[in-house]
Amino acid sequence: MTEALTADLDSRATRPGTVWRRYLRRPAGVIALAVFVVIALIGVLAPLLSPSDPNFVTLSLTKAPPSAAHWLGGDSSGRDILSRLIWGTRTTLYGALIAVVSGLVVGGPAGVAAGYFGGKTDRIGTWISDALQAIPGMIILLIVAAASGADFTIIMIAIGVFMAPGYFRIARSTTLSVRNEPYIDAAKVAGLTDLRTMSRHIIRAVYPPIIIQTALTAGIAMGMQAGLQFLGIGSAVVPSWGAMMNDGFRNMLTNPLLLLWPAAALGVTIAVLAIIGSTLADLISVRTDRATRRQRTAATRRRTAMAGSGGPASGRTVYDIAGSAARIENLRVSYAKGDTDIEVVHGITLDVAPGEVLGIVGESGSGKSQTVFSLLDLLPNGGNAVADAIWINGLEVTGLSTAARAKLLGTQIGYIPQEPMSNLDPSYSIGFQLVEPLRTVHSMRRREARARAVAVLERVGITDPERVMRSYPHQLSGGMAQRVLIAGAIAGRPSLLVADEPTTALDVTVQAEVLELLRELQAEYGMALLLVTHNFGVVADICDRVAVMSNGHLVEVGDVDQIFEHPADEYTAALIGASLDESESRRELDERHAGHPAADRMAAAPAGASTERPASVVAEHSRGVMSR
Amino acid sequence: MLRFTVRRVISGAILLVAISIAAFFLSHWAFPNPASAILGDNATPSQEAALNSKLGLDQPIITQFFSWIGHAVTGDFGTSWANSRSVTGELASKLPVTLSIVIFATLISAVVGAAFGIVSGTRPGSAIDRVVKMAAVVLFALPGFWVSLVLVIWFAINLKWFPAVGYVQPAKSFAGWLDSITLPAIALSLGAIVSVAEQLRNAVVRVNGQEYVRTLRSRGLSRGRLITHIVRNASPAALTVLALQFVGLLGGAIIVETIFNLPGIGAVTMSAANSADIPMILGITVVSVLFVVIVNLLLDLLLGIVNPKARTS
Amino acid sequence: MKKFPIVAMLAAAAIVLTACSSGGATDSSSTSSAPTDLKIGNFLDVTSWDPANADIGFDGPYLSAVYDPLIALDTDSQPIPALATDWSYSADFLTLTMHLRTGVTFSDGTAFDASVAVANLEHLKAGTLSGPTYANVASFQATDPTTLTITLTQRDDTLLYLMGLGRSYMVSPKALTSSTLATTPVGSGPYVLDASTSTAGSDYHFTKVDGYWDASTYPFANLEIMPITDATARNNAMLSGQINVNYAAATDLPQAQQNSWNVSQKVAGWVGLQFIDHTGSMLAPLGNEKVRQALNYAFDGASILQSIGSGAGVATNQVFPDGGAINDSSLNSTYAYNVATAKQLLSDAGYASGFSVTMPMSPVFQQWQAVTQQSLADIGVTVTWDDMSQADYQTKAATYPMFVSYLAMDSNPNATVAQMLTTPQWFDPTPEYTQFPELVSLVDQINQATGDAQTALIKQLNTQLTQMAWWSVWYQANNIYVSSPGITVTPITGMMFPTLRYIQQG
Repeated sequence: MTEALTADLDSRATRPGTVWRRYLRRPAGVIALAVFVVIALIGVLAPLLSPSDPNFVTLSLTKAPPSAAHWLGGDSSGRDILSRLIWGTRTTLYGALIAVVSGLVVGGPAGVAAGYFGGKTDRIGTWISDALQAIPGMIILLIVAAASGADFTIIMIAIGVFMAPGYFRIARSTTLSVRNEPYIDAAKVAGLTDLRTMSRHIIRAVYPPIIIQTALTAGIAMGMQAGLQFLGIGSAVVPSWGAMMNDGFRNMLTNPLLLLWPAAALGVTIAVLAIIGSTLADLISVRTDRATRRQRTAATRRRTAMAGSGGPASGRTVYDIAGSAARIENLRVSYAKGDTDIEVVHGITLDVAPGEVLGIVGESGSGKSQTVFSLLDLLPNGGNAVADAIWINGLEVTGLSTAARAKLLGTQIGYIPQEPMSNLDPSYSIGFQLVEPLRTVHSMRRREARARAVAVLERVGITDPERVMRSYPHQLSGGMAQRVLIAGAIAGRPSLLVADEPTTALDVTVQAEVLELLRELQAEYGMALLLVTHNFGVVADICDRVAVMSNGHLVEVGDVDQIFEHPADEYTAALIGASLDESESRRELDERHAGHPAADRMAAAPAGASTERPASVVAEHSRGVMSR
Repeated sequence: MLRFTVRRVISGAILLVAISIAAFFLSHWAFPNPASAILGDNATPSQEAALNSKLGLDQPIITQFFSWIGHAVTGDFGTSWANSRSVTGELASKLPVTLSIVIFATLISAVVGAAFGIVSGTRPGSAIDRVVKMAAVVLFALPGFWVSLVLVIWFAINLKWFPAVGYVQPAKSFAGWLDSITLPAIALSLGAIVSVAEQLRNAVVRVNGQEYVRTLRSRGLSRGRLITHIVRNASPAALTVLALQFVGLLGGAIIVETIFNLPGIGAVTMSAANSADIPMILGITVVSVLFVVIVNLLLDLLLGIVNPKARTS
Repeated sequence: MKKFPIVAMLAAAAIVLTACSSGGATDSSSTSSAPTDLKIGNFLDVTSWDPANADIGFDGPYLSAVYDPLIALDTDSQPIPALATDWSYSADFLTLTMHLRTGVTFSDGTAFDASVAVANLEHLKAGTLSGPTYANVASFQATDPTTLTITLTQRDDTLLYLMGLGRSYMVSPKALTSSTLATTPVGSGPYVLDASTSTAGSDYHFTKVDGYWDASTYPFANLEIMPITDATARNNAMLSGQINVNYAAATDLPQAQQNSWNVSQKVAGWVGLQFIDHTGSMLAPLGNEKVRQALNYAFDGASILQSIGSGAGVATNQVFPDGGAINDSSLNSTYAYNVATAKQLLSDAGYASGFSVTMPMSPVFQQWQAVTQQSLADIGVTVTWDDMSQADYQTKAATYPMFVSYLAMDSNPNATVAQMLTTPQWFDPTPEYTQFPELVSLVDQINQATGDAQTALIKQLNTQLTQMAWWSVWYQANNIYVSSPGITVTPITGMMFPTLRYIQQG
């Protein structure tokens, strides 16, 4: 069950050197590694360290308590426990090594081959791997033990073979993810043979997860070895922890120490391997966790100190509070990175009135999405927003509790996300996803909620709402899904609609339809629409006013016509140019600004919808899975 | 869905047949001279020849194989070479014991593991999350038989809530049966609880970071509603690990059966392996794999129910 | 991790464990003093309910619950009446006449008589495990409904003892011919098996038979026998009160004391080296008496008993049970532990630099493996071990020149001679005494003699065998039975677990 740990690894995020450096910053990992090194040294140096021959019998030492001559006392046969423990380390490590090597030899190359060549090789390899996992290993091991006369090496090889699927899976999936990377293609073009390609590039990507797998495999192999020895399989003359535990088990009620020492030795060894494995997994996994309490406290302290300080706020308000649907004053957004905060929005001020469409324009990483999520109170984990004030329909919300702010969602504020396919819950039907908030948030009766859902679907231009209600997200086209999301956002009749790049993921023809729909709906319901986009074309189509953002600052706010005709800022002009010039893609624009000092920092902050998490942020978060 | 089910059944059947073939030839390879193992080294060649002929071992191996598998498909796994009992009969009396504790342990690990996984997954980095993680390391490192003994001493000897040893057939006393399998199942389930909890926790954390969860939140859904959505989407990972655990539990049951003195397949397996009792070995292997295949099939069907993509396409 | 190291937790848990187990002690000691239910924790499951395929060793409690024997043994292992009320040998010891109890019926209603006894005895003679007991029987005849005559081909001084030990259980004639005998017993014994509440291999419940002819010998109203192979599990069952009589290990004794359990123990088997090759055909050194004597001097039996055997036994160098008529305690000092003497003897025999030997090893014997290896190494003998399963050990051990053994003993001297010296056994498939004229002549004399003269001759044989170092016996180990207050167990050497008549209230 070791694949659980390695399931979330992202091989692209791993660079051996940095992983190692980051590993050394994790105290639990360092302690575990140090303990393991000591254990390994004990095993290697057993002949030098052992105070006496592990098989030397002194009958008077039988079950003797610890003494100066025998620090841990004697076992039930009158042998020095400390010596047997030390030699047992050697046996245990040797056994684990055999199991790991055979598992690796059987599973590793097969997994790389399956991932690299795909097709039939992959299918056969995967099938065999699955078949191996369907066999209860313990039963087969008993048979192997009987047939081999309990030969220790053969048993450990058999254990290794049963662990091979773990290696196979991780090698296969890692290879698969690396195979289509450009540099592998480049290597192919350069004329490298398959074998050299694999050894050069793939092995480099595969080996960090393999190390994690090995830490766990070794732990599990040790556990199985002890289990077999507990069942009485194996030689009593070769000192081993399992045999010692068997001895201890027989005498545990009268001499519990006999069991304690080997059980503790095995337990500590398996535990440190588990900790090493999960620390490593953590370093190269792609998950974000909530910051620890210590980090959160520290961050709060810094932010308190920061409030009021910092640079001047950019932007301005144009309506009074009563006349605005939303109003943001001096908003700052920061992300915790280790013990420091990275600020990504540097104090912006803007507002939007009912019936007005305000566009927030900027390239990716400019902080426009962060601004919107701050308004919604839906910043990703680790993100923190402070503002002098945020007003929603005349209510100051920065002082409200999380729960109170959540109450505004779906009732006063509607949200339309960027990527339609990833914003619908794949496990529930469309109908369920539309009806559920109406029933639970708006306390509608089933029939009423359903009728409303069908009505909004019709309103957003879906011709067969009954069918769509029954459908699941994967059965919808992108445009259809985006209409469903718009329907979901307006179903609660909000007074403020926030749309984050609502058309970016859609085909050009669909884009125009959706924009038209948004404009219609906004006019029909008299909503304030806050539209985030990178595209001035969209702005020109739909917006009344526009706020241009760059690097966390508002560089310009004004009426659409005025800004189009007389952009005050060079950046605004460039954005307008880029949107009008079809040949210049968004990507090129991003690249052009990549040299900008702030751009790197922007890229390092979780950009809302982005799936890429900076490794350094992930590094501070929790450990991975452990299982057996 | 029907086509999907049929395909899974066929794939399971192929796996079962392949493992049966492998098991048959490997066991004959591992125990090349069963007659001498049964009779002992003092047997005369003529005695061995007589036994070989009686057991059909003088036939070509291929003939033996087809004879065996021909009977096996009808549920007849032959007669034990060690004690002349019917292998099928022996499995029918011993396997329910092992399956009782394994299935009960699977249920315990599903329920308890899910509870821990959801609680710690929805609060990553919190105190409870860290406690669950540390418990995982400890349970991972503790020898299973040691845990079993602690359970016996606390709950059977001191508190006398459960029997320390023995098995009661459910047909004779359902309550007695439940009592007799509770401690073994708990002892067996601890490792699996850890696996399920960790797997579900990570899946919950992963799903929690998905965009649709944020969108659901933007619709104003309550925390409870959100967790329902998250768990539903995280459950395939937990179900998969649960099915894998079932295989491990079948093996782990052998140790637990020893400590709780349960008349399951553990002791039979040990003695069959020790006495080169190939019909018994094959019976145990094939029937165990059959149950694994059934569990995997159930998993696939469950995944189909949980994941509409698998069901509708 | 830093706050709560795993080592500390394990240590804490271990202490809790010991604390708990003593806590359990006070619980159990408060149980009532006159139990009416007998709950036995036995080592093994019943081998077979068919007495012909059953084992005497641990099957005694099962078989004696449902079957009556013709002959039982008293606590001194002398034959006493059961279904046979009295018996007598002819002057030439070739005809044994028995009179049988009347009015006995089997649980299926069939009556017991001489013809039923003959059918049973013929079934036993044909049986694999019971057959050797009747090896010298020519025929069984029912002279009249209450008289049974057994005709022998040659005199057999072990017959009555073995019948009493557990080879004369009587089965209903209907069951005898049915195919379900191995799983469904039908007897005339004090209890009947309650199949509806029993689980084969795990738990056997028996109910008392009303109006049983010997009810006073079987005082317990209900009987339950649980086969529990693992010693720790058995002790757990005793601690939890699931059983009240346990086949215990020496390591359980401190707890028995804490719980005020009754403890009874008696020598049951000897531990040491079994020599297969007294002629040196496989391993030349073993053919030399001096070498075998050296292998006696090399082992410190008393210390091995104290340490590995937890002191539960008697340090003696003979295979005749301690406390019996033959065992001679004055011989025990013959080979007092002395490495120098052992080396000298090896040197005298021409093996000054020792020799090498390969010995089998199985999990059961691993407890003596280390001390064997080292004791032999001390006198220059190098051991190579062949690891094997216990089942293999029982079929293969005798193919090695010598091996570590723990062999059950018999309380009857003639039976001991037969088992250990003269008849083929798994541990001695081709008895070698025939190659030593002095032994052959002694055995012949024993087979002719009777009474005290025979006893004297067997003692002489014992001395002779000890001097020839026929074995290297380290000690005789006890079988230990613990029971709740109010139940006493009387161990019988020869039965690994005594039959029910030796488990009494009081």
